[in-house]
Amino acid sequence: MAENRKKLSYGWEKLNVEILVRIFHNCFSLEERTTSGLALAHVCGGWRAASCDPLLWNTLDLSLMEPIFIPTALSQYMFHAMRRSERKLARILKLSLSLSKGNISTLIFPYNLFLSDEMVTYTAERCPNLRRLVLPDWNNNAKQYCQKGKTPSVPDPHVVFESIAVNCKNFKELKTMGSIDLNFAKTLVGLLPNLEVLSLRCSAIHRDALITILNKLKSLEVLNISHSYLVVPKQKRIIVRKLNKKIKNEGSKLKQFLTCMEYETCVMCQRTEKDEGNISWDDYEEGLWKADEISSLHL
Amino acid sequence: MENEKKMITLKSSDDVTFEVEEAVVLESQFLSHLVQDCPAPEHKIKEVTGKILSKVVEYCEKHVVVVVDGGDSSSSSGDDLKKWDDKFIKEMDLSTVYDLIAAANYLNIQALLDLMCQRVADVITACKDHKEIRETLGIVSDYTAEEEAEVLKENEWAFD
Repeated sequence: MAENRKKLSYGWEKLNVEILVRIFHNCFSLEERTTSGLALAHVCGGWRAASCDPLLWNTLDLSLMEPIFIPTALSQYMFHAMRRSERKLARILKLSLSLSKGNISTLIFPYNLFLSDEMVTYTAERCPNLRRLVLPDWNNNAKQYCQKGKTPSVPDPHVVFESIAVNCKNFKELKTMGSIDLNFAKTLVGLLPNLEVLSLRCSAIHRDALITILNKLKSLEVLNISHSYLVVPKQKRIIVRKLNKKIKNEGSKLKQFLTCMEYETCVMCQRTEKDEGNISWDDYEEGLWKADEISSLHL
Repeated sequence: MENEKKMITLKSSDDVTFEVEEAVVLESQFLSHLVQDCPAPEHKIKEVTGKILSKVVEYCEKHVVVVVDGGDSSSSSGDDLKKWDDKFIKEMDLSTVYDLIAAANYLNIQALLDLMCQRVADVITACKDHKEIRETLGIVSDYTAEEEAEVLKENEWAFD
C-alpha cells in the first residue's frame, strides 16, 4: 500500500517526453538548456532524450545568448572581454552541438561574435543537416578596435565554405554582411555552387564579386543586395550607386533579385555608406541586424 | 441570456460528477469534440480522477468567465487572471501538478498545460543541480556509474 502511494506521487521520470520537451522548449533559454549548472540532460536517460529532441535543435540561434559587454573604445579590458565572449560562445556551441545530435538545420551567429576557424570546422562537422546559415559579421567590427593587440579570430571564407561543402550536403541559404570582395565571391561559387538563397544586404559589394556570383551560381534563385553599394576597386575605390545593364540583365534571370540603392531617401542605404559597408549595428535600433527582405532569413 | 446556457455533466473515473456550462467544456479541445460528436447529457472521462477533474473544472470556469467579461475592460481582468493563476499553481503539491499535466494534455487544454509546465520549470530552476532535481521530483536515475561519469565529463570539457 505504502509502495503504491509512493508510485502515485512520484512518476516524474515517466512524464511524457513530448511534455518534457515542451517544458524545455518554452520555459528554458538556450543558455539554461546548455551551460547552466542545472544540467537538465544529466538528470536521467529520459531527460537526456528530451534535451536532444530535434524540436529543440532545429534552429540554433546563438544571438539569443545574453550578450557579454564589449567596450566600444580601445581599452585594456577589451582583450579580456573578447576572450570571455569567445569562451562562452565556444562552450554553448559545443554543448549545443553535442545535444543536437546533428539535427540543426538553421544556424544563427550573433553579429558581434568572435569565431575561430577551428570552431567553424568543428561546428560544420556536427551539423550534417545544415541548410541555412546566418553569419552576419564577416569583417568583425572588433578588428578595428584591436589593431595593436591580438586581432580577434575572424573566420576565413575559404575555411567556412569548405567545411560546409564537405559536411553539409543540403546547404542552401546563406546570409552574411560586410565587405564582399572578389576573393569571397570566387571562394563561394567554387565551394558552394548549389546555393539557392543569398543575402548580402547592407554590405560593400565589389562589382566584380557581384558579377561572379550572378554568372557562376547556377542554382541561385534569390539574391538580396538591398541597402548595399557597389565598389569598383580599380585605382581609386569608386563607389557605385547604380546597377549597370549587365548586372540588371543577369539579376532578372533570378526568381527574386532584391535591391535598394536609394542613397537620397533610404536610411539603411545611408547607414551602409556612412559605416563603409560594415554597419555598426550597436549604434542603431536593437535587433535591427536581424531584419532581411528574404522572409526565410528574416529573424 | 440565462436560459441559453446549456449544462453538461462530466463524470470522473471514480464517478464524481460535475455539472458545468457548455462554455466551460469548450475550453477543452477534446471535450468540445466529444460534446459535438455525441450529444449525451453526461460524459464519463475514464482517464481523470475526481480530484483532478475538480481542478480542471475550477480552472476552466475561471477562464471562461474572464474571457466573456473581459470584452470591454480586458487589462485589469487580465491582471486578475494572472494573479488567480499564480495562486492556483502555488497551492498545488507536485503530485497534483503531475496529474494535472497528464489531464490537461489528455483533454487538450493548452493554456492549462502551459501554466503547469511553467510550474514545473520553476521547480527545476529552483534546484541547484541535477541531483537536487532528481530528489525534488523523485526521479531515480537510470544512468550506470560509467554513464554518469561520462555525462559529467561532457559538462567539464565544455569549460576548456
